[in-house]
Order: sequence, then structure tokens, then C-alpha cells
Amino acid sequence: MSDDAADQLEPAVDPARLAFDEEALALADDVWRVARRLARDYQAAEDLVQEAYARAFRSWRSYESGTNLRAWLLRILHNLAIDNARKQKRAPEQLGLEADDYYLYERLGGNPVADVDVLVERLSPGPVLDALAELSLPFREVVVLVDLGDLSYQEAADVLEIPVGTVMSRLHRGRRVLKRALADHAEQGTV
Amino acid sequence: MSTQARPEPCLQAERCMQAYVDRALSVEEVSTVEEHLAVCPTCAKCYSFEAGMRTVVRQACDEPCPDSLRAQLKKICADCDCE
Repeated sequence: MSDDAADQLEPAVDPARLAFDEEALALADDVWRVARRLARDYQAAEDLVQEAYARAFRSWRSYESGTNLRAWLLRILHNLAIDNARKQKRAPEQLGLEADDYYLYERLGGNPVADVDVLVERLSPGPVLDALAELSLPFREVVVLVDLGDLSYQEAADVLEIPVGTVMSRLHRGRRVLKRALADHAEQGTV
Repeated sequence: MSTQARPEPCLQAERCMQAYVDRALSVEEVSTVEEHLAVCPTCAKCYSFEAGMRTVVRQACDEPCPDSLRAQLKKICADCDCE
């Protein structure tokens, strides 16, 4: 069989599709990190990521090459997470108590001669993850997209389809709730 | 130090802190903040702590995609017959 005949038997794979697949799969760590904080548990996060990638591969042509693929994937992930949350019909979550932005620093004993690194070392992963999990979804999503997904305020606003001012408000308030929760952990000696 | 006890420039710096660490302030706002941080060790340490806390949050959540899931994603990709 000639090379020409072989070419006719095997359809050529679109190079743009191959590039999309490669780039999307390379972002699996980023998508997983966000999914882990949005989904209720490990298994739900796995399901969420698989569903998001299946949807992404099916609709890859709607992705505009050269734009932020991470943001595009996270938008799909967000839509699926919202659908799941609606199905669970959970009662509206409360935001929790907020603190001033300097509150946690001060509660950990911060002062003008304090060693900041020592204070930061008092924050351990367990309480941070607990505090993040306790944050209500609309606030947690923004914190996760910006702080873990590396999205700008505008990119997060596009993903969530909310105004950028709302992103800033939720982000700042969400982080203040985290600080309050971590300070309360510190009070109990568990940070 | 309670919020009430802080001088106005420190309160202003506190309000700008998150956006500063997010690099979301204008050049003029950054300049104003940095002028204050240069003369206020308390605010400078609070800013430094904020950046450190962000790092702790990222590290706490730094969990790589499991190999089994990555393999599953490749399979989903290979099985997708869309063009």
C-alpha cells in the first residue's frame, strides 16, 4: 500500500485538536486543586473533574485559541459544581463571622518587632483546609478561583458571570472569614 | 491594636492590603501604599503576614491530580469522537 493510500485510510487528526488536548491535560493539576475545594469530598471531586473534561473535549471548538484555557476549564467546572449544588438542595449557607484584615496577625501576637515568618509558621494546613471548607460556596468559589486558580478579578468575574465588584467583595469578605476562623482555631491552640 | 485605635493612614492601608497583594491596585495607589509601608513597621509586617498566609493557603491546597484520574482523563480524551 502506498503512503497516499495509507493517508486515505487514516483520517488526519486536527493539529488544533491535538494542541487543545495537550494543553487541557497539562492543566489537570490546577483543575483538580480547585475541584477538591469545591466538591464535598474526594470522590465528588474526581467525578466533577471527569465530567468537566468530558464536556471540554466535546465542546473544544467553542474554546477560542490563545485565550486563557485554565479560565475556560474552570468555568465548565464551576457550572457543573453549581448544578450539583442545586441538585443537593442544601439550605443556604451562612457566611460566618468576618474579621478586620489585620485581625489574624494581631491575634497571633503580631507587633512591630514580631518575626512574621514565625507567625506564618503557626498556620498549619489542617485548620486552613477546615476553614476553607466551612466557607459558603459563593465566597469559597471566588477565593479558590483567585488564590488557587490564579485567575485575575476580571477572569473570575467572567467564569462566575458576576460583576467584578462582586468578585472583589466576596473575595475580600471570604478571606476575612478565613482569618476569623483561623484566629478562633489559634485561640483553641489548634492552628 | 483595635481598629478604632489605628490612625487613618493605617486604616487606609488595611483597606488596600488585599488588592495590593493581589496586584490589583493602580500605580498611584501602589505608590501611596508603599510610601506608608516605608514609615509604618506595623502595617509593613501585616502586609508581609498577608503574603505569607496566602502562601500557606496555597501550600495547604497543593495536591496534585491523582495518577488514576489523570489516566482516566486521557482515556476520556482518546474516546471522545468529536471533531
